[in-house]
Amino acid sequence: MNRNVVFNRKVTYVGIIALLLFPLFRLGQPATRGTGGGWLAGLRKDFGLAQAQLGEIDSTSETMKLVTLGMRGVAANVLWFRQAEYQKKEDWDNVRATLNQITTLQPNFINVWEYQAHNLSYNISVEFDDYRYRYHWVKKGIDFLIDGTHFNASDPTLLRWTGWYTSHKIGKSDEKLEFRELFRGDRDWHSDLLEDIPIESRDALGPDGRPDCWQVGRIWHGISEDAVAAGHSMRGRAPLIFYSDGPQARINYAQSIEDEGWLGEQAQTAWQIALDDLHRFGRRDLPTSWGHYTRLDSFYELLKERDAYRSQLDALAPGLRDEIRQQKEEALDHDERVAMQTDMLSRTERQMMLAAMIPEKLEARDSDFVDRLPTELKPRGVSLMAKVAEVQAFLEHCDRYRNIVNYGYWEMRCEAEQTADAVNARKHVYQALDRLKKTDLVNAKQEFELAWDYWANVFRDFPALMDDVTGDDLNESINKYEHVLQQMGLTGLPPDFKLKELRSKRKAVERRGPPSAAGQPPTAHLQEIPPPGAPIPVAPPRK
Amino acid sequence: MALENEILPFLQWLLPTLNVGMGALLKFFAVSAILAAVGFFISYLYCAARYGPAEGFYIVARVAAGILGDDLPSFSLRRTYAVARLAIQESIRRKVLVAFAVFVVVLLFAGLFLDQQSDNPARIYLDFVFGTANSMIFVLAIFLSTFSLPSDIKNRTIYTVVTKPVRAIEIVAGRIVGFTAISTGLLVVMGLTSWLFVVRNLSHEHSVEISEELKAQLEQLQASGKSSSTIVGVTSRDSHHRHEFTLGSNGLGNTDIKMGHWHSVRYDKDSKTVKVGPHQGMLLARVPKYGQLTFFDRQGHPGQGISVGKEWTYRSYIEGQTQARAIWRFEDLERADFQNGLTLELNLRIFRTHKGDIKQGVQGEIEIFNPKSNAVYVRSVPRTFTAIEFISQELTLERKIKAIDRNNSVKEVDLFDDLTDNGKLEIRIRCAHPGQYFGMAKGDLFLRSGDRPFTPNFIKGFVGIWLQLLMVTSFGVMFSTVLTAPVALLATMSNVVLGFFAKSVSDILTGESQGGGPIEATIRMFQQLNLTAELELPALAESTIKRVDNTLLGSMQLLSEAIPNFRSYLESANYVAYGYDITGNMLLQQTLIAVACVFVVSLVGFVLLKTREIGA
Repeated sequence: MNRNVVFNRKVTYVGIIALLLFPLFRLGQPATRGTGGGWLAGLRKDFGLAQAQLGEIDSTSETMKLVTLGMRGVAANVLWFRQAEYQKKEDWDNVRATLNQITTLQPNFINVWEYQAHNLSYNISVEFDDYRYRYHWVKKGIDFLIDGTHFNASDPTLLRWTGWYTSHKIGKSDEKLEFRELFRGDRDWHSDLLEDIPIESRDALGPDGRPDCWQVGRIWHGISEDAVAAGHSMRGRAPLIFYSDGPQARINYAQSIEDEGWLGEQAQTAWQIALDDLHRFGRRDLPTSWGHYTRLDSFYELLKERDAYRSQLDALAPGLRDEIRQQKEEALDHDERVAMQTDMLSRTERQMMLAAMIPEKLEARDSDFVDRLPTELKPRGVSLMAKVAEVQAFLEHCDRYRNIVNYGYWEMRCEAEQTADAVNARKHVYQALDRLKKTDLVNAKQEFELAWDYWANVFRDFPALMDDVTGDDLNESINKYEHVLQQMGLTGLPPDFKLKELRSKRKAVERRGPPSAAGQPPTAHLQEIPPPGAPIPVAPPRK
Repeated sequence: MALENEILPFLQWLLPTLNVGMGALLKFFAVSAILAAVGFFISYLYCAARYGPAEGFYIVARVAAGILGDDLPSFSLRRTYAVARLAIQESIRRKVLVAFAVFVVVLLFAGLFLDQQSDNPARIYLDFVFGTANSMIFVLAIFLSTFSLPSDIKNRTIYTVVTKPVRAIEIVAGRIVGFTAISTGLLVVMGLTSWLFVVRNLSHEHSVEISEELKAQLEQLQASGKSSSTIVGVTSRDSHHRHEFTLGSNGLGNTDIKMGHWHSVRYDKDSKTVKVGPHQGMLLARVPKYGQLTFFDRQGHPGQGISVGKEWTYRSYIEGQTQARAIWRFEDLERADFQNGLTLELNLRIFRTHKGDIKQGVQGEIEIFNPKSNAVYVRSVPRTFTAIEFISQELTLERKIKAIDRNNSVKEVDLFDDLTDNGKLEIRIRCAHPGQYFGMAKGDLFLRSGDRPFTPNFIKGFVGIWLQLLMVTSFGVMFSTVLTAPVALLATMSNVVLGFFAKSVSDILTGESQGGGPIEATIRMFQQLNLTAELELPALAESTIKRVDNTLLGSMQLLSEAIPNFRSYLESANYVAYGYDITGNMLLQQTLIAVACVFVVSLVGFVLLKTREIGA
């Protein structure tokens, strides 16, 4: 081959390379202080993908990414296999060390942080028999999440999980008493956490002046909410659930300190703070799957609005709705009438089924009402019926969203628990159980009886509490009271026992099985929309 | 550390035995003979095709006779040394020292990506230095050994050597020695740097802040002098941890174990301060003595342990509050092993079928049984212990121990004299809680007869790397005698990979690992199927693929039999990282394998170089 040909070819290659450099430079020019950089740098900035926008820039991570020369995915894959093998062989130290390497390679892969934090806190921690080691590994999972938040400061989900693990894994595990105490006394960890959250602030502290896991969890949830407020995506999380975590942490805090014996002013304040937090959540505009927004606390307003429209509709033909209802009642068959007239607790299974369907059969629907209106009033009737239907739809959507997070129940519970009666009732039950532990039967009986007086007052003001977990817990205490009476030679509950209604309701539930077995949540009745004509419940007072 | 691959006693490993197999020696001769026969046959085929059957045989026989009758007997160490010196000079010219610089840079930045808050930092650090040194030295050895000879042949500088009275065997051996020597020098420096890195990074100090309360307690303790009084305190937080400590009335005490170590603590009366000593128990070389593990089932009959459904079937479990027992039988125990009583190290697993008392650990009992059938003292009085998981639990049985005789009366006896039979001893463990289980494998209970210093063990770990270096260099030189540099590089790397993953190949063949052979795995990758999903292919195609895969894997397994198992050398690094002594037996076995490998590979290299037409 001629030497000139070879030389010319080389020159051509160099020329092409040099030409390609221009578009390459245009594409990949890095951003500097003065310039926005090339096309890729612009895209990175627009989509918030520049490393500086995502979180901390870690020199080790950047070096590792570079030295793997585009084989980062392969390297991470190998490390995942290795981590799984270490985990299978219970080599926990190497599991943790490998996770470090994986996240160094892929620090902005959010699912890795989520998945492996769960692995550490929930899967690996339970492999240890000693609860102190379990706590140690729960902490490792939380620390892992916190590391993740450093690299992905703008990601609300990692912050949310940090709050969730801190509160739920520590505060709701089987070992919650031990975990909560370990957390309160873990000063070294507190000082580490201080770099990220104000753990020494009043908001983070429990009644004993030490950080409480639920309170600290709430702070993380708050930071997560702030990240969303700053415009960052929840990455597919349902806003309803996302925003309910914070208030729920406050509620759980109040419950936990009561369970641990803090029954005075501290508990009342905790419930009050929880209610305030819940109301803030209730005032939030939440997107629904029907395309419009709803506020959980708009329920009572919507109810009023619907009934106002319906009153206007009824005013078009006074007495017509009663007439329709009367006719429908007359159309009921014999079995249905008997079922309706039988006392609720004495109904047979078939009668219960029939009775459940009767309200719907008797309902005087707006369409029936409008059909019977005189022709000249029909246009007005149709218009009002449409308005009722529209508000009813909003109401039902709001109600469904409230039911998902049990908003109505928690609102009532927070209210009830703040009353002096509830505080005293719990105090006396706690003291009764304490006396019982010490086999001081006389004083235990006395404390129980004082507690029943207060509980009777609570149920008078908040009767719906009888049907929920409060009633369940209390029923347990009543069983213990009955046991005390037996040990003291007395038979059965006294005739003037003040919680008879609760007791009979519980007995009925025990006979029928739990309501949830029939697909009904225990507190579903609390969230039902009052039927037309029924009195509108009063909204709990706003603080 | 899981003892998955048992190290056999030397003679059992070397010689054929009924239970274990053909033995290393016979295997070596068999593999050598097969290699020689295959080599001879292929050479003959080649020569027969070129020169005819009779002439071909004559040529091959002449070469073979030349090798055995001339080359090997005339092997000169002096000429080999000269070639080796040239190889060293060449390596230095190629700037191999850059590898060391890279190693140092990696170490400098290691602190940034190593988990400094690990519960066992020593393990992580040692794993890291051994892994890095191993990889670096592998890369170096492969590049040095595979590029040298082909480039000499290509540049024709080899003529300056082959025209001199130097035999091919000396060229091959000289290069292996030269490259190994220069790599050894680097490895020594790497080892020293690694040792400094580990020791310096793990070294830390704690102090104790004397609060008013502690001060008062110390003064009270000093004044009372009661032997039973103790003081509990906390050290400062350094290197991501702090310890709790206990001080006795004599002013001496220890801390608890955190991050795999503890410290001694001393109250200094003069300065009225509490001094914390250097860390202990982190860099160890424990010498374990293992026994044979058998089980009694829940009715007390000899049987198997139970599987509790774990994916890893390494451990078997015994049920609590039943007749189930785990029994370790020890042999060859000596009086010296019982000098200060019998120190046991336990590493049991716990499996709870119900929550039980969360704050209370699961308890077990340990008994010493006399294996002698008509012994006066049958067993020791059971000793209760609370099992702790994932931590080596040390139990010391006193030399004077209470034992039960044949009449069920309890007496204090000497552990060695009265409960062992010619150095044999039985240790039985039972779980005391109903519904809870203890899990164990052979290596989970051993007698800790003493500890050896860490540094010699660390050196032994590096000797393991050096042996690998020797073998990889030999393979590299051997392939470079006949292949071009890039192909030789690829061949050597394939060898190393096969040496590391030989077990994976046999696991796929035996069905222990799922996912299939190379073709099936490729199909799964493209179809995005997981390892256990059915292949979405017609039955005939699937069976054909599996048959081809099995053939491929079978030949790979056959080949891997002739290649040393590099993974076993890595295990010796694990011994150092987990604080176990690398035994002389283990090192001897590894050395013999390496020497045998180098010997055979050098011979093959020599034959290949000798029969190559360098001038062509």
